[in-house]
Amino acid sequence: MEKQTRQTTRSRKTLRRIAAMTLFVAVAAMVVPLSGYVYVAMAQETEQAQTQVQPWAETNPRSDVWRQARQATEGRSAIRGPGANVVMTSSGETFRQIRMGPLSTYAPWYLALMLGAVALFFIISGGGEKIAADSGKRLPRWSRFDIALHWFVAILFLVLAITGLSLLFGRAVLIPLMGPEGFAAWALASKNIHNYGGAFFVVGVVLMIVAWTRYNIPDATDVKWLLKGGAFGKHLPAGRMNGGEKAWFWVNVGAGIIVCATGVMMINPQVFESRELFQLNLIVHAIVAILWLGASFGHMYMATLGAPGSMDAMTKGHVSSEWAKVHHDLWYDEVKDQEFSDDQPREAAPGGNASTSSA
Amino acid sequence: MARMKFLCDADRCIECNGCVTACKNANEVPWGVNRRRVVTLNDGEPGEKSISVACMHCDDAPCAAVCPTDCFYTTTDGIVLHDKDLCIGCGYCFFACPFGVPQFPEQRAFGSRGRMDKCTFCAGGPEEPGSQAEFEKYGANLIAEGMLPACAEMCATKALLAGDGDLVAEIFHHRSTSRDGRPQTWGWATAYGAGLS
Repeated sequence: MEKQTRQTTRSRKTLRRIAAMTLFVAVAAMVVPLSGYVYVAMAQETEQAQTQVQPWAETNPRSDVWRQARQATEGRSAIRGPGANVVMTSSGETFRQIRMGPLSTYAPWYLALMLGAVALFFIISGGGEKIAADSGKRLPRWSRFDIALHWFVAILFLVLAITGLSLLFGRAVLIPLMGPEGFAAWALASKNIHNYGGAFFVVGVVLMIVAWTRYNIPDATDVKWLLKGGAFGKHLPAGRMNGGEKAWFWVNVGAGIIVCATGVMMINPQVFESRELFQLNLIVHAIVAILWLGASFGHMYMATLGAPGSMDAMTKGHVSSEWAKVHHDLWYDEVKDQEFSDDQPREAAPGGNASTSSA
Repeated sequence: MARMKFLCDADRCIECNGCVTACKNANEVPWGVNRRRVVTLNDGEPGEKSISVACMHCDDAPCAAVCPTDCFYTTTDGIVLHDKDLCIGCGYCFFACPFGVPQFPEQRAFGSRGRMDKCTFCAGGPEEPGSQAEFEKYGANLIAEGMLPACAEMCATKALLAGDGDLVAEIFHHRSTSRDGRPQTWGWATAYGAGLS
């Protein structure tokens, strides 16, 4: 009986243990999967933390396409042509803003100020000193080739300036005067004259640089001439070319190279890899050409009113000895043995490169 | 008055170039001149998109601003047209235009170009509407006939819309708000917080 009771107790214990185990497994089976929620919650928290670090990391794919389009991203197009594979570029707006803004605003002011400065200088100084050429003695200064080259470049310079300015300012200035049709005809002519004339101008500028650089190597005399105000009418020691003339020559070289190089590239537009380069080129061409034109007013003034007698050098090829003594004393000392008299037909000029005409 | 606009739905354009062909056919533009083109971004990658581009008929058109002969004008419908009799072929409009629209049919010596040609919104030019002179210089004038540009009319997927800006905007608004797919709800989490839907 006691044995039986003991057996019963044992089996009850076993049963209880089994029941407890079963209950534990059942509860665990129900609870353990719920830990997935904890994992998800934790993962979401981490994700949120990451999103807070880079809140705008995610972008709208539809916006991205238009962002690419806006930023001139290159795509593919069945159509061939410069820039055909790009939806839009904004550099043209920069070109427009510069051309219609500062360039169109300041260029006329600059040209007007340069003209005004020259006029003011003439009024204040009363023009250059008129040197009496009583002796009739002349000195050869420029050869026929030099004179021809000078006027070839000078005339083309003026023609290109007029046509170029017509294309830039004609819309504002000439359309009201000539009417749209009249101006269109002139603008078309201007464009063609500018394109074809420019090609000849380049040749002239290159020849000028080759032919005249040897006269225009700066030295100490020129620095003194410029620093002491030689350009403002003082007669200071000067060689064949004074400091001002040399400065003008080097302005021609610098501006000439830039304007000619940009111009040649523009009539060969295939050299440009992008529209941006062409736009920049066009702006540089216009700015440098206008600066150059303004500087040329000074040269024109000096040749006519600023230093009377100078014009002979580029028309007759020779100058009066008195003029040479005043303006180019060092040069006069060098070449005074080439002096000839105005009224006598001149024999072959020493030095060989001077004009043989006494007209 | 209507304000004419083009709109290309990049989610619909399939780069069939039907608009380009329709334009060439309607306007009989010279060989090599394309008043409209289709640009495909991310070509060959997942999510590639095509956009049909022509003159956008800008309110403040850069081409008109830089033109030396002032040959551009805007019609009462907001269409930007130009007078080929005044054009000197300088190419400045091409350099100013953000969309690369101006075309130059002729190449001459010294980089000189023929007179500029561009999309007219099928509205011809300053000549007598429907005249032979207008057709030869500028192409068709479908607007004068009460029609819309050939490119948009031809578009098989109706990706390219043309017409009064308000109507075009209304159609596109309806499309984009009822369009299915993830990008529709883009910005929701940013605006209302993650976990809300």
